[in-house]
Parts: sequence; structure tokens; C-alpha cells
Amino acid sequence: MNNEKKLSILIVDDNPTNVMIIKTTLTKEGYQIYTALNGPDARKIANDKKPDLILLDIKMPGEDGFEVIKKLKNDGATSSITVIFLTGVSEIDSKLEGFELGAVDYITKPFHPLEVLARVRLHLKLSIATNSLIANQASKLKQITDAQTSLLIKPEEIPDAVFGVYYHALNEAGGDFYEVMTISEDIHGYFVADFSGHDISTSYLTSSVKALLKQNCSLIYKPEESIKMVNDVLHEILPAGKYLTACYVRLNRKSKSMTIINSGHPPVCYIPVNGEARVIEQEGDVVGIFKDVVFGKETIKVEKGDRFFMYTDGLIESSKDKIVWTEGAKMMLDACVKLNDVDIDKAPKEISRYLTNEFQDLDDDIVVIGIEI
Amino acid sequence: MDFKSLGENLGLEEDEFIEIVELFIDTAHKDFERIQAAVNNNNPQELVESSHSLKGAAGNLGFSEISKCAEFIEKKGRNGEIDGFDLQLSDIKKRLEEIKIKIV
Repeated sequence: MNNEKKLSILIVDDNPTNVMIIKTTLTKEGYQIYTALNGPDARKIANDKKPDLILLDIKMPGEDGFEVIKKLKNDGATSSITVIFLTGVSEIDSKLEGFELGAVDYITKPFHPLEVLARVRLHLKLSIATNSLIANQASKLKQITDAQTSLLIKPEEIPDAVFGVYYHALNEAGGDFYEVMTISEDIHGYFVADFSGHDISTSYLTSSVKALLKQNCSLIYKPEESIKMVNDVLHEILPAGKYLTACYVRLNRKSKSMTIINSGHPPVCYIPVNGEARVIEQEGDVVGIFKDVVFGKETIKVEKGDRFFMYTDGLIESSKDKIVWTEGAKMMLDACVKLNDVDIDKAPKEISRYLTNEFQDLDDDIVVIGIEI
Repeated sequence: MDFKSLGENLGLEEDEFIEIVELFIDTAHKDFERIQAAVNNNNPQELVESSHSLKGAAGNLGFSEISKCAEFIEKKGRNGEIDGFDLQLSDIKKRLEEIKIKIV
């Protein structure tokens, strides 16, 4: 956020009087105001003007507020704009849906303009703080000089996370990376990434990513927000053209729910105790190239004994055999199912062996993590 | 009806408030016409939408009687009824006229 630039707010409500009340109040406080009386206009202005915040009425004829926020959040150019909903008291039931869709707050109608102002201020502060946090993290990371490549965590260090791992690097500066974190009791984060290229800077980047994960994978951020923060810092510090594909899973063993964030990475294989094993297909932007990104996100209910596997493409892609993801992911899934009886601490290695035998020889790094709920 | 104190309640100067009220009168008339049309066309959905819009705008400006009347009509509409609110309609009309006279 540029301090020279006036902070700007887009007000969206089909009722011109409501728009005018808010506009009058916020204009007085020095904000640049844009207004729209319907959803399509709102999205167009959001795209053209990139406001710092959007006040969005839920109930509008035609495209309603939910529809608008869905489209905004699915568009990389507008996905990071803070959205506050305006809602009538009778629509209070829809609050949760709005938060789920990415709104940060609600203002109930009839609203008091000074309440609107207070909330606008609060959320702009939060978003400015987040942005400066990112800038701060980026500048600190640039100062890291000592590469700490041998920082890959071992399953016995966090037994509660119940995982097994197989890691094989072609050379010392491997392009693959994984991390497992305790976020809170019963909640763990699992991260697998693959850096583009195998040059020497990769090892320094690995330690940067590790530090970033530690800083940003916390309870206060949703999983997609954590990876977005990591993306925003890496976007600042990565050399041009360098990026990583990644998959981040946040598993809550207490609520039995698992959220998977995917950024251009091979899909997670999910082997439930009950039900059919499947590949969790997701589409998402890679990490580090773009400032505005949209990641694949899926949350599923899990049960004790369910397993899932995260891995890098070295295992399922072969330049010699011309095997690509879609096919490779199916082979991976088959291997996970076939070897479901193997203990989770040994399963990743067995699966790798099973698959690499079929591929003959390796031409890339490999990481496989298996997790059991 | 004191525009100065109504404005103050919202943290607005009197002239700012009057400017908004002018816009409100304009849109409120449109809403009012839509309500009447909804009755004539036997269209509860339209009745709900137009009275909801009037309710919200009037409520935000502190015209609570108009807002309450509109809310009454909105509830009727939600129950699929399109009559039984003549009193509320004439009350809204009267109060809108009063406001209009005051800002001229």
C-alpha cells in the first residue's frame, strides 16, 4: 500500500441513499470513494480502481453480494481486496456464509455512519499492518546468509503429527522441500514444495521458506492466508523467473477436518478408511511469481485411520517415459492403496520404491509424506 | 422533525444531511410507486423488494416511522399478502410530503 496514495473505498449498495450516507461520511475523512449500485458495476470498478476496501451490500437485485464476493475472490486481480458486508438484521443467518466466502466483517443495517467509519479504519489498519509485516519479513529474509539446508524435520521429532517421509535429493542443493509444523495441540501443518530449477540459491531459499512458514502458519490465519503471506514475501525476494509449486495441508485431528491448499502442485492422494480412495484435484497459481494469486482450496471431513499423501512430481513424472501428472497421480494413488497395510512411517519409502522401480531410473528429486489421522 | 439533530445523530452537518434527504425523497418516491405498482399487479415479491428498500433507507436516516410502516408492508409481502396496509401507505405518503416541504 502506497502512503502517497489516498486510501480508497468502494461502496456497493442498490439503495442510493445508503451509498450517499456512507460516501458523505468517508469523504469527509479523506478517503477516495467509488460507488456502485449493482454487482457487475462493482466488479468492474474493483478491477479498474483496485480499492483498498469494499463495503458490499448482500441483498441486491440480480447479482447479490455473495455472488460478487465469490467472483472477486476468484479473480487474482481483486482477490486480496478487503471486503466488509452490509447486511439487514433479518439476514444475520447468512453471516457464516459470508465469512466463508472471504469477508472480514459485517455491518448490520440500519447502520450508523460512524460505525461504518470505525470498522473501515480498523480493517484498513489490519490490512496495512499485514502488508508492512510482509515487507518487513522480506527485508529480514534478505539478510539471511547462512544456508541451513539440513533442517528437514524428522517424524520422531513431532510424534503427534503422525507422519512418515521419504526424501531423496539428486544433489546437495535439492529443489524439493518439506516441513511439518505443530500449529496447536491437535492441529498440524504439512507442507511440500518444489522449487523451479536446481541452482545453488535454492538452498538459501529453502531456509527462507522454512522461516516464513514458521511465521505465518498460525491459528490466526486461515490456511490459504498463510500461503498467501508466504507468496507475498517470496514475490518480493525471489529472483525473476524463480517460483515454487507447493501443497499445504492443515489437519485438525480434534475437529477431524483437513484443509488442502494447492499452488500448481501434484494433487494429494487421499485414502479414507471408509469410502473410495481418490486424488484431490485442485487448480491454483504457483507461489512467488505473482502478487495477486488464487490457490486451490478444499476442506474435507476425515476419520481416524484415514491417510493422505503429499509428494513432488519427481515421483510421478518422468521425462524419459513421458509420463505426466494426471497419469502419474493415478499411479501414485494406486501405489498408496496397494501399500495401505504398510505402517505410515515406512509407507512413503515403500511407495517410492514401488513407483521408481516402474520408472527405472530417477531424474528428479523426490519427497513423499504420508500422514495418518 | 429536526434535520439538524437528525444529522447530528449520524455525525453529519445539517447541509450534508439535507443533501442526502433530497436523494432519499427521490428514491423513496420511486420505492413508493413500486409498492403501489406491486399492489396493482398482485406481485408480493416486488412488494417485498420495494418496501425493503424504503425501510432500509428511511431507517438509516432516522425516519423511523416511515421505516416501521415499510417494515410492516414488507412483512405482509413476505406472507404473500398484498393488502391490509392502506393506513401505512397513507402514513408514508404524508410523511414524505412533510419532509419534502421542509427541504424546499
